[in-house]
Order: sequence, then structure tokens, then C-alpha cells
Amino acid sequence: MEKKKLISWLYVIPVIVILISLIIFPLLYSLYLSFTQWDMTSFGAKPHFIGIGNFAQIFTDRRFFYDLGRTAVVVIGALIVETLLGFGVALLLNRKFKGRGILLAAFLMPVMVSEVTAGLIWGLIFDATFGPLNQIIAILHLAKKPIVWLVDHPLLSVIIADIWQWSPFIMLITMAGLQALPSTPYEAAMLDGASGWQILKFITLPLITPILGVAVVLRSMDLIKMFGKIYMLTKGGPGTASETITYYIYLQAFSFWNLPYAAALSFILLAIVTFFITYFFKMITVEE
Amino acid sequence: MELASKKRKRMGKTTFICSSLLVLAALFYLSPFYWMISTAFKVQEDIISSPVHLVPPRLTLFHMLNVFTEYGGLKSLLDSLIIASIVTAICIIVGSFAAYSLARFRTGGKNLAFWILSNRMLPPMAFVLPFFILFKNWGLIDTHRGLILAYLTFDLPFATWILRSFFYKIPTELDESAMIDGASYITILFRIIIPLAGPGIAATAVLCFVFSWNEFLFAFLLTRGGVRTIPVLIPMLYGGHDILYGEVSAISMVATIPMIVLVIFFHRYLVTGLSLGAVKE
Repeated sequence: MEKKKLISWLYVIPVIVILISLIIFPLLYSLYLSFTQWDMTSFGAKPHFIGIGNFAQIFTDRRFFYDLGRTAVVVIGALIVETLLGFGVALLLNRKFKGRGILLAAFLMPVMVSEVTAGLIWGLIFDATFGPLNQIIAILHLAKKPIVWLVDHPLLSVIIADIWQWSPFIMLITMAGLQALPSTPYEAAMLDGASGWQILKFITLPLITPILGVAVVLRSMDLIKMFGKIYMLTKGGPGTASETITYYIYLQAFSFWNLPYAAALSFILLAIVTFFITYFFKMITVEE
Repeated sequence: MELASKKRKRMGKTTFICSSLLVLAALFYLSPFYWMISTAFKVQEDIISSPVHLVPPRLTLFHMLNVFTEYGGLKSLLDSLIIASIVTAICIIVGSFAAYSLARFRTGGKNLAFWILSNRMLPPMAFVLPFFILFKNWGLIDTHRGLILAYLTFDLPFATWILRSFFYKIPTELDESAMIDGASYITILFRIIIPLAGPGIAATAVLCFVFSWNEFLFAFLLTRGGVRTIPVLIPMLYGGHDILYGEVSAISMVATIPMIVLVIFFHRYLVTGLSLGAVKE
């Protein structure tokens, strides 16, 4: 019995050691950095301890709070559309017809693209002079003059690119959920002569909500962490118009070279994400 | 009779609405790909023409060749391939042992399994700051090794957790009877668990590969041009002074097609993979 225990731990230890040295240790180092001041622009300067100064600074940093608000706008805005669109298309696909499999596979393609490629594709589409979107708008006479998408509506552009890439994920999850639904309540509802709308509202929605909740929590975390699309499309601009917390941390660290302050900010980000992680674990069921 | 025909009429109308909506959805999801692909094969004058050509009047392979000969497309493909393959191999090997232990012996209980997975969800922006300093001190900036280590932070927890759920589905009777025959744990893992979980392991490997292949943040901030994966090459070509829309579309297309093919093969496991095992099929 003792041997069994020893071997079972021996098998997980490599993963534990790797994760401690690649995640816990760097985060502890980052925590140390967040209590220091470090002039990285002058050669040979070392970080020196200053206590909670960086964390205190966050509370007076208006840019941070605006970024926090903008992050919330991105998360909520993208999530609402992604959920409605993904759920809606899943309902449309949830019937037997020819070519259903091919259509589903085609809709899933954006998910497999890197966020940089998604940014590129939409950058090309939104391009004010050479992009097709303004051309189509001109043909349909929808706007009087060309729209400079990435300057006039930077946050919206980023959100649209994300909706394109990730609403299929909600679609996929919903489809899996719909397939797992029991058929008895539907048969009973049919017998009682319920309308399609009533079936959707009183049977499908309540049954599918838990699964949709998991998808929403996962998407929220990814939206908070979004970086590549913003970098490709707007670089947080114009000004700070499309800057989220993640992007602000990047700027503080690698553009203003204030790594200690960026580290302090990253712990706020970690706290927010950890909140979602705990929520995720509460929602899922694990075989034991 | 009359009721049936009325019903059929109504059905016809719904089908029509549903089909039209699906066509709209297909337009939204697919036309962006069309634009990237058509840009890759357009002649430069047609890319930067006004009014915009929605359909390419002429086709060329110029950009496709140019991005490989002039802009380091081949080296980027190789860098991406080397890094993603090694990360995937490490994750599957190390992850399989851990997953076996977690699935069969409940090592560390639910908490250890959760802790391992939670690492997958932490924001990479929080690690990249200490990595930048530490990697600099250890000479890992701009190396394959450095990026491989960085990618383990998200792929290893993912692989361990997903493999655990695949191994869990294999009935325990098989290992028990092997145990009675005197098989060791390692024999059981390699002779019973791994062969039976074959498709699941392959799907996990594919997803680990795709995550590494597509990763941008670490690759962008922990390299200086000596190692340049495709996601780093793309913004370089896109943001420069010259308009290289054709070249950047071409390399994006080349990088994307293998991922899409892989995923079409393994789409059955996509739900489990992308939902981190929360939704099973």
C-alpha cells in the first residue's frame, strides 16, 4: 500500500515541480518587484524596496480606473452579443438538414485562428482606404463618407473581431448542451400543444443555462486577458480609447519601463481572474 | 387534411427563415476568410486600389513566394513548428503520468487537480513580467528553450487536466485484472491506459499544439528577432512602413490552414478541450 502511494506521488511530482518553478516562483518574484522602485532606463540600476508605494499609486491612477471601465465594456459588450449569436446559430443548427456538419465545421474555423490573425483579418476589413467594409457601405449608401473604423470606433472594432472569433465557441458549447438534453420534457410539451417559443423559454433555456454559464465564465476570463487583437487593431488607441487593463500593464512594463508598477497592477488583474476561476470551479462537476 | 397542409405551409415558412438566417451567419463567419485569402493572391496594385476590388481581377503567387524568400516566412514556420512540437511532446509525456496518478489514485484529491488546472486560467500578462527579468538573467531571452518553458505554463496544466478526464473514462476492471497478473503501474499506463485513450491523447496533443502555435504574448515579449514565431512575424509585416497586406495575408493563411485541418479531424473533442473539460461530449 505504501509503495502505491509513493508511486502515485512520483507520477504527479514532475508536473507540480514544473508549475511551482514556472508559475509560483516567478509570481513570488513579481510580488517582490511590486514592492520596489526600479529605474530601468539607467544602466545597472537595481530595484530597491519602497514598501506599498506602487499599490498606493494604483488608487490615484485615473487611467487605471478608466481602463477598468473599458475592460468591463469589452467583456460585457462582447459577451452579450457572443452569447445571443452563438446560442441563436446553435438553435438554427440543431435540426436535421443536409450539409449541417459542413456548416458547423465552417463556423468553427475562426476559433482555430490565432488572435493575431483574427486581428489582421479584421484590420484588413476595417481598413479605411483599402478595406471592403467601407466599399460595401458606399455601394449600399449606408454612410455619407468613409468611416475610419479603427479611429472612430476602436473599442467596437476590437469587440467585433472578438465576436467573430469566439461566438462559435458559445455555439459549440450550446450544441453539445442541446444534444445532451433529455427528450421527455419535449415530448410532454408537444402533447400539451406548447408553441415553439414556449418550449424554448420554459424547457430549453432553463436546461441549457448551467452549460451556458460555464462558457460565459471562460469567455470572461479570456476577454480580460485579450492582448493580441488590441495590439494588431488599435494598440490601445487612439489615445487610450481602446486600452484595457491587460494592455495598460503591457504599456507600463514595456513602453514606460516601469516594471514594478506593472507588477503591482498585474496582481489586481490576478485577483480579478482568480475570482472568475473560483466561480468556474463552483460551476463544474468533476468525476470523483 | 386542411390542418396538415396548413402546418406544412407554416413549416415551409420557418425553414425558409431558418435557412436565410444560416446563410447570413455563414456570410459573417466565412467572408473574412475570403478577404484574407483573396488579398494573399491579389496583385499589389489591386490591393491598394480605390475603389476596392471585392473580387480580385488578377491572381498572383508573388506575395506567397515573397513572404518566404524576403521576409523570413520559412524560418518563422520552422520556429513555430519546433517550439510547438517540443512543448506538445513534453506535455503529453509528463502530463500522462500525472493524469494517470490523478485519475486512478486520486493523488492529492480534488484540490490538487483543481490547482493544476487553475494555472491554465491565470493571465499570462502576470507571468511575462517576471519572465522578462528572470529569462534575461538566465540567458533564455530569444531562445527556443525560453519559449518552450513559457508555453508549459498554459499547456501542461491543460494537458494534465484533459488527459485525466480521458483516463477516468477507462474502466478500472482492466487495470485491476492486469494488476492481479502482476503488471506494474508503468506497464498498466503504457499497455492499457495509453492505448485505450489513444484518440483522446491525440486530441489533447492537437490542442496543445494549436495553443502553442497561435500564442502571441510570450513570443512577442520574450524574443528579439533571433527566434520569431509566425504570430510575431504577422504584426511586424502588418505594422511596418510598406503595405505588405499580400505577404502578411499569405503567411497567415499558410499558418492557419494546418490548424483548421487538424481541428476538422478532431472536432469531436473540441468541446471538451475548449471548455477545459467542463462540457463533455
